[in-house]
Amino acid sequence: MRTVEVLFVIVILLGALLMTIQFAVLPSPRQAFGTNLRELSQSTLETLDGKGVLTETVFEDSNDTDWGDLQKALSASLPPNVVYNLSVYDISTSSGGVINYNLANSISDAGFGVDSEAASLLVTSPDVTFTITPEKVGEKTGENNTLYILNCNEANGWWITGYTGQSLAIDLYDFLSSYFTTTVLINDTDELELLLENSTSLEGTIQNAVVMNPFGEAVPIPYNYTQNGPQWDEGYYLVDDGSQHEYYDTYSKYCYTLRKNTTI
Amino acid sequence: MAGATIDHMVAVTILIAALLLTMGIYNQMFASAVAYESNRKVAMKAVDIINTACICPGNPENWGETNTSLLGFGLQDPQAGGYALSPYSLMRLRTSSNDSQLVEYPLGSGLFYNNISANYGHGIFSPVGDCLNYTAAAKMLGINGTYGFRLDIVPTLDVNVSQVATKPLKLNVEVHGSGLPLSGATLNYHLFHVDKGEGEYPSITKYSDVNQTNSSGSVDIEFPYVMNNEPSYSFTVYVSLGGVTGVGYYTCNTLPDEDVQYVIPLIQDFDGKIIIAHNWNGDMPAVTYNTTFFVLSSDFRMHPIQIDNSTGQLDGAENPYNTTEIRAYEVGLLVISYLTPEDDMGSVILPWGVGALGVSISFGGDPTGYSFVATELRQVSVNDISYQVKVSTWSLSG
Repeated sequence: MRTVEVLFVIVILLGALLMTIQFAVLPSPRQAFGTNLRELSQSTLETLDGKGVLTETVFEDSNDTDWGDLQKALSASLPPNVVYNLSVYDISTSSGGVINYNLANSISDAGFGVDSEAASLLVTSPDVTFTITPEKVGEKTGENNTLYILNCNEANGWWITGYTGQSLAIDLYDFLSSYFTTTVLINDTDELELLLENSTSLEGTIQNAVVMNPFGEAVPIPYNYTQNGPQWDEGYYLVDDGSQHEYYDTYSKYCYTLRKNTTI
Repeated sequence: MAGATIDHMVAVTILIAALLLTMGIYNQMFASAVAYESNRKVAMKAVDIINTACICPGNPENWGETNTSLLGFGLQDPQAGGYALSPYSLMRLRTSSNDSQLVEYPLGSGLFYNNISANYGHGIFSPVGDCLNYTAAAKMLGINGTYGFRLDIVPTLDVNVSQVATKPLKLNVEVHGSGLPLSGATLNYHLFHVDKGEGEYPSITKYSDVNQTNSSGSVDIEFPYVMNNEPSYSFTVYVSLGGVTGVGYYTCNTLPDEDVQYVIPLIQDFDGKIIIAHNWNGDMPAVTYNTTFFVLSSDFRMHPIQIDNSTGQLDGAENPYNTTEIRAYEVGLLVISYLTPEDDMGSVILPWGVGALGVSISFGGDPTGYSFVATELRQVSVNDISYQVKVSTWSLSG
């Protein structure tokens, strides 16, 4: 009787074992890796295009000899146990904004096996020239904005390390001038005075303007504003005539005045 | 009663046998799964290492062009980006796996040079103190003591050059890709012909032209202006087709022993200082030399550059070496021709930048004896020459 029970147990054990083997199909430890074909093909495409040869070839007619050379180059580059297919798609956008991929040409050395990987490289025709037209600030609202960059040659920077205010001004001019209708470099504090006085001699009436100060925390001050005068309460004068005004933090007042006057 | 006992014994025996059998099978399955997982980790580490080597320039980025110490490992060319390796960083790899492969110069000085050798005596002898060794690279990759690796960087194309005839000189160039001949490939070749010259120093005359391989991937190139019975020359050829490029070279000397060069160039530092040394192994005759540095352009043309001490005399006693300096930031070939009092002539080439002469490099440990070695392969370029990089990785924990 015990034997029969044990036989039942053995049947259950073997059944469990068979089910485990059936469902848990483990690959061989030797199959833990195979050459990463995707990365290999990506590096092959990039290397072939290193001097622009791939780009030139894919835009040639499919009967051109360059295609034959490309096929030889692919065969010469890839290991003998790797087969390949190179397909070139012409990407176009229809009027409705739908992107279409049309097969332009395809080369291969054999049919694919059971396992394959793909990589892609986007190339543009060497005959095409791209022109970038940046959108101007305020263009959509019809404003013609002017950018003023302080480049005062007699001013020093404050807390800007590794640069000068003037070098930053030139860099900013290069980076930003295409985004404004007009960009003006304020080359000395006399021109800054014209700007602050809203002089029309600078660039017409000053409105819709952006003023950039590359000199750090400090703002250059026109020379005339540092001479004693009636505008002491606006912070333009460093020292008054011996009265109590000399104790004022005139530079902070100057910044406050600038802020008030330049609000758009 | 006895029957029940026997029944029990038989039942227990069968049960134990069945349990042992199933446990054995389960154990085998688990062991297989654990081995698979362990191997998978090694394979992933191989991907990590090859990606770091190929698409990371290291830190500092231009470490191959300076003598500065390295903080992070990587071989990418920072100027080119992508899958392009720096020809200079590769020169700073210590490829010698043991000290016996190093070259000591001067003898007894304690100054050793790593030898990335090419055939016919050409090679890159770089100061070991400035080279990156395997252990340091493994530490930078964070795998020291856990994984071993080996980098093999070899040219994609196999370009063989052989001498067919003299008077006039005729050379044969054969180009093979991955096991197949490369027909229709464009060849840009340069012959550095060595002659006695009019003064006491030998002269180098460069002949350059363009040719193409035939349907069997080979071509004979004739030089009607080289009419010596025993010519002395170095020849380099740059092959390109459909975006894949390769290099071949060949040297012929009129020396008693073809395999012994009388002059050996050594890299003093990676700022471009070169030692032109008289061969210190044995009793070699004194020589006069003439050297020129040729910068290699992107279209495989050679442009000569004037350098200091371009001519001189070397012997084993009073003038064992001379020094010169080349442009460290330009890839090219330092071609040294030399002449003995017996009118024997030879030439030796130091490639500045690994791709200039298509030198192969192996860097890292030895995978022999490890049960599982994962490999990864990438296509790269080294100063516009196509190379394949293979990384082999294994677990050191068994």
